[in-house]
Parts: sequence; structure tokens; C-alpha cells
Amino acid sequence: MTAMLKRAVLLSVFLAGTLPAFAAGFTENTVVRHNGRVKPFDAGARQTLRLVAGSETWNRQKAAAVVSGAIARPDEAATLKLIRLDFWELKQALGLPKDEHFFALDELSSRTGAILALVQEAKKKRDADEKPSKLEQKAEQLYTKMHAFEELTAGRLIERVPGHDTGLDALRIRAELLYFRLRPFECAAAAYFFAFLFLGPFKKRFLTLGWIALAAALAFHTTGIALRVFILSRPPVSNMYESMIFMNWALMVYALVFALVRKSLPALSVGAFVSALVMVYANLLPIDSSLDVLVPVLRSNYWLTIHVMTIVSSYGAFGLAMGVGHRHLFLAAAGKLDAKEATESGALMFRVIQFGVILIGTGTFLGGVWANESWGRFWGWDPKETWAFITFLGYLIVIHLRYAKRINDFYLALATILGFQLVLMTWYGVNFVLGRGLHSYGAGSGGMQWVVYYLVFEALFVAFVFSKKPRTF
Amino acid sequence: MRFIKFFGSLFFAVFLIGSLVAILTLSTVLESIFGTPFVQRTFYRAVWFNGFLSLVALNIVCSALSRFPYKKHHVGFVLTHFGILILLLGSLLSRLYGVEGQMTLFETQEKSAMLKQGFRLDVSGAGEHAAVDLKSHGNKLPYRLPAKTGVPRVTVVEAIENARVQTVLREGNRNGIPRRAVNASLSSERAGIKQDITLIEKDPSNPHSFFLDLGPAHFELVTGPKSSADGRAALLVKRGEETASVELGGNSGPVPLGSTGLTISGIRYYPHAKVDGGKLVDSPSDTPFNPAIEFEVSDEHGRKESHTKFHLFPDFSSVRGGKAKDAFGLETRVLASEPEEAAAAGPSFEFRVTPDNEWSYRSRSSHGDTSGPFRAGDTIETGWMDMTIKIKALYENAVVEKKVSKGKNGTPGVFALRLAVEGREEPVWVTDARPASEAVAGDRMDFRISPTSFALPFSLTLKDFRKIDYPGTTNAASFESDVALTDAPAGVKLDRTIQMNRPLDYKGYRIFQSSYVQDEELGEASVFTVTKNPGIRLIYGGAIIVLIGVILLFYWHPFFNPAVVVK
Repeated sequence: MTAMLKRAVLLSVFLAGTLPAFAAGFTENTVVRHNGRVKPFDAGARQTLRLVAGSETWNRQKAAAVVSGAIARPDEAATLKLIRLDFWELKQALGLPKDEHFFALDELSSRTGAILALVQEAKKKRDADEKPSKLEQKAEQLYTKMHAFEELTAGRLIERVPGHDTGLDALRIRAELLYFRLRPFECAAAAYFFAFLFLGPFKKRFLTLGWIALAAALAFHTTGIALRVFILSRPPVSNMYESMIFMNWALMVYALVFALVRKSLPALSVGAFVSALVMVYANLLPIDSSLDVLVPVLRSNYWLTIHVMTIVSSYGAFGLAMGVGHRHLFLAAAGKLDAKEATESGALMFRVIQFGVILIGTGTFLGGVWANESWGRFWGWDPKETWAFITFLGYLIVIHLRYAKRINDFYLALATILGFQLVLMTWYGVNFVLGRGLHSYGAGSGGMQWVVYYLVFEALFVAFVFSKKPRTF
Repeated sequence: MRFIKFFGSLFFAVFLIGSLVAILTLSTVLESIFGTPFVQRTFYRAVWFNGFLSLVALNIVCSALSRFPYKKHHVGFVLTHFGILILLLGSLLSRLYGVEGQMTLFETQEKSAMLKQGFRLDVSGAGEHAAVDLKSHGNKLPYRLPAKTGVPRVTVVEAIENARVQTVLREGNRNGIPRRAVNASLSSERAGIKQDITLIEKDPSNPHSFFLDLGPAHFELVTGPKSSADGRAALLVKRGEETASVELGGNSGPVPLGSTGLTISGIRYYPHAKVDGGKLVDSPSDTPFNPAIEFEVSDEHGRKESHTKFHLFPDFSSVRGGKAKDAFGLETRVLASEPEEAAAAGPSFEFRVTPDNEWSYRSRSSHGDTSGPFRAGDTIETGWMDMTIKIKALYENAVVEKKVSKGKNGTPGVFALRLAVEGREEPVWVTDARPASEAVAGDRMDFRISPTSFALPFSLTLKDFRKIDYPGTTNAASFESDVALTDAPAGVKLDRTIQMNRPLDYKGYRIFQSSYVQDEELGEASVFTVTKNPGIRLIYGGAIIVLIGVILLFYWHPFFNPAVVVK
């Protein structure tokens, strides 16, 4: 809570426009160009240090201090153990000590030949459409770090640009400084967790606190998204990270609306819990959370924006249904679900799924419209669009069966969980597991382990529910 | 009625949707293993898939009929299902009558045709020519080309979409006629080059195999001394002891062949001959890379023979129409200066070999010349671009074999066809990267695969291409092309700018900027995708009707039939 207060103070600093000065040529708010975008030095420094050293601080020093020092005294910087390398097989291959995690550029430069050999082997494999070995991939990453570091100390990575100190530009710079200090999504995740507790399990004693936590979470969440949109002048769904953050924002909006319309708290507390988890996952997965420019085909376009936002918000609806489904099954397994609450929860899940189906159907159609406007074909069975279609069909089966009264509330709850696995495949799996197709921009690889943990959890959860032999009414 | 009830049942609907989920899941998994073309062929473009979608349509029609006569609360249901039918109809229309192709335009270039997916195989020999569009026959192999008189029958036996072609050389006696070849590996760290090259003297399947251009660098196999002649050629015709020699380049009217009573006329010289559509075509340049002469021989009785003679292939009969039509029994030869060296704009490396098979090299660049002898196994420093050349093998009587193998699934490669040709035992391999010219029953036949061309009702000229980068990087922020579209019959001329996501529409066609080329030598080019999608309005309309229907179904319907609401 005190951390949040501190951030609130920072907000007022932002409005007043005074920021602490910094030594050695660059200050945190010096306007620079980095990665094709004008930004405050602090932002460029954090991103660079995160790339090179794997964290936004090094040796308890702030990124801005480390990076401006490296630019000012390149020779000295080359002797500092700044470059992170964890993969011990690579250390072994390069003859580096196994127990160290940071290495100096000079140390690594003397091994450039060996590193380059691995990098070229990786490139050869990629050209032949083969997957490089883990060792080669790590060598590529190391080479990228070394290259970035060299570019940095040569003064080419971060360059001072004059003439952005007035009007909207200046405001953007200040917004970006604020974004990095506020850490809005981390605060929101914490607040969502409290909201879940106080609106859910402990609602009898802490209901008011729950509402306050929820309001704070929504405020941080919305502010974070608004800052990103303002800083980057683009819709908030341009990469995996942004889509995760936007998905649970949409989820919370639906939860709020359903809670107010149906006058029931479960949607809100469950929604807050799912949101907190999604935010934690967004930070755990090895995906790009930086503020970077886009490839041309994703450049701001009316249809693209509507298409992606519609699809991602449908994930939000399915995520909410999935959360409520868990609650339903858990209570059923614990024998604490009476008929009235089961009906209410079933109706909620069905309503949310209906809404999600409309959204994913519309969003997929709009994707076709965008594809037709961009490259002249409405539908091409690209894996991403095929999987969006599969997800749509999966929930369509649920809706048909429900209309025909062939599945009851218990199995509907089970269906929300199964359906969400389809969502996950569309959203994450196509890019990261299948790794093919037109929608692979901004995709990376890895993070599989976290997804596998989730899948294992779901399997165990369902097994647990059935082991309790609940009344499946 | 029972028919409608069954095919319109919920059970059937859920079965169909469930099957579709399973089929699509399987296809995306297979796509990640075997690549997009495989699933496009086996799933999405297959006949059975259309059949499956027809079942879906049948289910929808029947389920809509089974609720007849409609009541007020059926509005949402009927709209939704009717909309899906319109959508399916639209996609069928687009599938049947839609067109998609690519057009690459260099700056100032004008074109009125595009290249469609699929290939066309051209076979020519003996002045005859046959062609077939391969896309429609892609699945039915072996496919026999239509019969043409005078042309041996050709059958497409095998098609490989991602073939790897390797030139394999071995030493072999070819009737004492030398064919020298060199196999070497180039490597340059600085230019990022590491590759094998094979240069062959008088390669029958590719007259250009004696040189290779890699970016600005030129590699060439030079056989025999270079003549100091000015590039002129002469034609030598012999019958028994009688000989006629015709100098080419100047006035070449009818020339008598000694006292045989034969006359040589209609002489035409091609310094850089190319065979296109079964005919020799105008040379793209005057450099004598592949000198050839066309001429006619006639006797007193008016009998005529047409001849084409290639300098690089002296042992091929010059008579067009095969040996059978050789009435006069002539021997012909083209005397020409050796192919000239290409204009030495960039660095060049010559592998030189004398008639006695003495090998030497000459390396030239702006840094100066180096030269010296070499043998197999030697490594030569070129002195430019940090390039070193390791000589792997030298041949005096090389036999050239093309080894075509299937690449790994999902890897890019050339499109290759294995053809069986009547009167020839070995198969003929032809790829879209390189035409083939092979001996068939003592005659030459040319085989060529080219992309299918599609004529457009307008022409397009690229005036200017621009790539706009994000400031301070070479990452493209946007590409755009200034184009002029001309439709002469309609008297239309449009000047427009095509951008990523901003296509040009004309007469049902859409022209998109899909890619670009920036080449130091060739200049800038735009790659446009041109499409025609006749069902798109039905698809849009159908989708909007479905949306309205679903909203009514979900949010209006309950007011009419509260019993259906899930309480």
C-alpha cells in the first residue's frame, strides 16, 4: 500500500513536471532516439540494461546511471562485468567460469570467433528452415547483447535529439518517465488480488476494502493502458504483452457490467482473480513488454485495430466464463453449491459465453475484412484465423447444446474450461507452438513451461472435482 | 420429411461442427509439420472439403425448413442461418471465379499481365511446340501432354514442389570431344559468402554454365585463347568437297554452295540466341554469349530446308524438323569469336584452361591483377572481398548430370518435373529455375517451366517506389509506389499512389503493395498482388445478416419465448 502511495506522489510530480537531474551528460529526462523512437533517456537506458544485463538495475545502480556511464567511458565499461550469461553449456564452450553470471565485454570479445561460429551455424540452420540448437540460440542472444553494448558505447544506440521539449512531444516524454516509475500493471495485479480476497472469500468483513481495492486496480490498469496508447500513439493490442493486458481489462469491464446488472459479486471477485493471474503471467512469459515500434503491416489501420481489439476482448469474455466455471466446479466439489446458486452461476456463464461468441465471430469476420482490404483475400485458412474459427465453433457447440437443453450447469462449467483451452491455442499456441503463418509478427518462442503448468493445473483440477463425485445437477 | 428432420437435426449439426473442429485441428498440426502447400492441397482446396461444407449447408437448410411455418420468435434463428447460407454462397463464388496473382514492376516498367500460382510447361522441338497449364493437373500424375505431330510424346511423371537441384560431374569419355569443367568452393567472411560453384564448358543443358555472377563479382571458365576478332561470326556450309563460307553482319544475300546447285539464303545471325516458345528470339544483348545462325538452303527444284546452327553445340544437327527431313546432307559450322568477357564493372575471376588442359587463373579488381597456374586442391587468394577459392576438382571430359532430390518438408526449393520422353531412355528433369535442352532421338528438345501468366484488362506502370524508414533505423515504416494505370479501350488513365494497406481498385481488381525489391544493379521494384474477389459482397452481406440474427436470437428472442431462457 505504501508503494502505491509513493506512485500516487509520482503522479503529482509528473503533473508538476519536475524531475531529478542526473550526472554524466545524460539525465533521465534527456530526449534521445533509441530503437527508432524518441523517448526519455531513462526509458532507453532501462530497455538497454534489461537487454544486456537482464534487469533494470545493475550492482544496485539505476539503469540511467549505468548506461550514461558506459556512454561516457566506453573503455572502462568494457571491463565491467555487465553482460549476463546464464547458460552454462555456452560458458563451458567458451571457456568461461561456470559460477559467474555476468561477464565483461573485453572477456567476451576475446572469444568472438567461437561465438560467431555458433551464430553462423544457427543462421545456416535458420536459412535451411531448421531449428538451431539451444547452445546456438543462446550464442545468438549473447551476440545480440554484445552487439548492443558495442553500439551503445560507440554512441550509436542512444542518441541525443534536440527539439522535443515543447507541446505534445514533451508531454509524451514525461508520460513515458511516469510509466516506468509507476509500474501500473504490477500495482494493478496486487490490487486485483486484494479485490478478489475482499469481494470473494472474505466479503463478509472487508467488503468496503474490496471495492476500494477494485477501484484502485481498475484505475492503475486503465492508466497503464492509457499511458501506453498515448506514448506510442497506437491501439493497445499490438503485441502479446499488450493483448494480455487488454484482455483482462476487457474481462474486468464485463465482470463489472454483469455484476451490476445481475447484482452478484462472484463475477467481480473471480474476474479480479483471473486478472491478477493474467498480469502475473504477462510478466513471467518471455514476451516483449517494451515500448517499441511496429512492422509496417501492423501499422495503425482502422480495421486492424477493431479486429484485434474485438478478438482480444472475446478472450476476456471466455476468460471470465472460465473463472466462473472454476468457481462453480470447486463449490460443487466441496458440496457448497445449492440449486439456486448453481442456476445463477450457469446463467452467468452462458450469458458471458454468448457475448464472447458474438465478439469472436465479429472479430474473425473483421479480420477477414482487414485481410481483404490489405492483401485481397477474405479467408485463407491461415493457422491463426483457422484457430479463431475452431474456438468459435467449439463455443458454438456449447451454445447449441445449451439451447437444446442437452447440458446442465455443471457440464457448462466444465465446457468453459475446455473452451478456454481452445482460446489459449488460438492466442498463444499458434504463434508459440505451431509457429507458422501470417500472424507470427511479434511472436517469439519459449514460455512453454508456464503454459504447461497451467495445463497440468487444469487437468489436476478437473480430476479433483470428479474425484469428489459431486452432484452434477 | 424424415430426410429433413434427420439432416436438420441438432445431433447432425453438433456432429458436423465437432467433425469440423477435429478436421481443422488436424490440418493446422499437419501444416506445422508438412508446410502450407500440403494442407492447402489435402484439406482446404480438396474436393472432399467442398463436399463437407455442402453438408453444412444442407444441415442449415434442413434445420431452417424443419421449423416451417415460422413464427415471430423464429426471426433471429432464420436470419442467422439464412445469413450463413449467403456467406457460404459468396465464398463458393470467390473460390470458383476469384483470381489472384503477382506482378513485379521495376521503376518505369509497364505490364498488362500478372503471374498466377501454378506453372506452365512448354515443350518444343523440331519447330513444333506444345504447352500445358500444370495447375489443373497437379494431382493426376502421370499426365500425358497432348500429341503433336513431329514432337515425341512427353509425359509428366513426377512433380516436386521443393526440389533441390545439384549439378554432379564425373569424368567420362564423350567421343573424344573435350568438355572442361571446374568445381570450386568460394568463401568470403566479409561478404558472407560460402558456396560451391561449378563452371562447365559447353554444357548441353545450359549454355550459360561457363560463367556465374555473384552480386558484382564475375566468375568465368575461359577455354582456349581469346580471339582478337571483333565479334563477327561466319557460317561454313559443306557438302562433300564443296564449301561455302558466308561472312555475317553485313549484307548477306543468297550465296551459292559451289557447284552443287544449292543456294543459301535468309541468313539471320543471333549473337546471344535464346529459345522462346520454340523459336529463336532477338538477343537481349549483342555480346556473343551464344552465337547462332538461322538460314535456308534451297535447290533448283524449289525444295527448301530450314537450318538453325549453334556455335556452342557444333555436334547437333542444324536441320529443323529432325534427321528425317535432312534431304541435302549438309555439314554446317558457325565460326565465331569466343564469347566475350562481360564488361568488367566489378571484380572478376577467370579459370583459364588451354587445349592441352593446362590450368591457370586471372583475378582482376580495382586493386589490380593477379594470375598464376593452379591444380586441383589449391587454394587461391583473389585479392578482393577477402575471397578465397579452393579448387575441389578439375575435369577434362566432364559428363554433366543433374541430381534432383526432394527437399525436406516445408523447406523452400525449386519446382521440378520429371518427364518421360518417347525415344529417350533417361528421364528429363526440368525446373522453374532453369530450362532444359536435351537430346531426344538425335534431335534437340527444349523444356521450360514458367509461371502461368494472366492477362489483365489494363496496364500498370511503376513511376516511383519509396521505402520510408523509422527515423534513425533501416526498419521499414512504410512502402509506397506511384503508379499509372491505363485502360486504353476505356480511355482511362489514373495516377495513384499504392501503399501498404491502401490498395488501388479498378474494375473489380484490387492492386496491393505486397513487397519490394531494392537491388544495387537492377534498381527498385514493387511487387504487387492483384486480386479479383467476386463473392466478397455476398460474404460481407451474409456476415452482417448473421450478426443481426444472432443478436436477435440471444437478446430479443427471450421476450417471445420465456420458456427457453435458462433461468
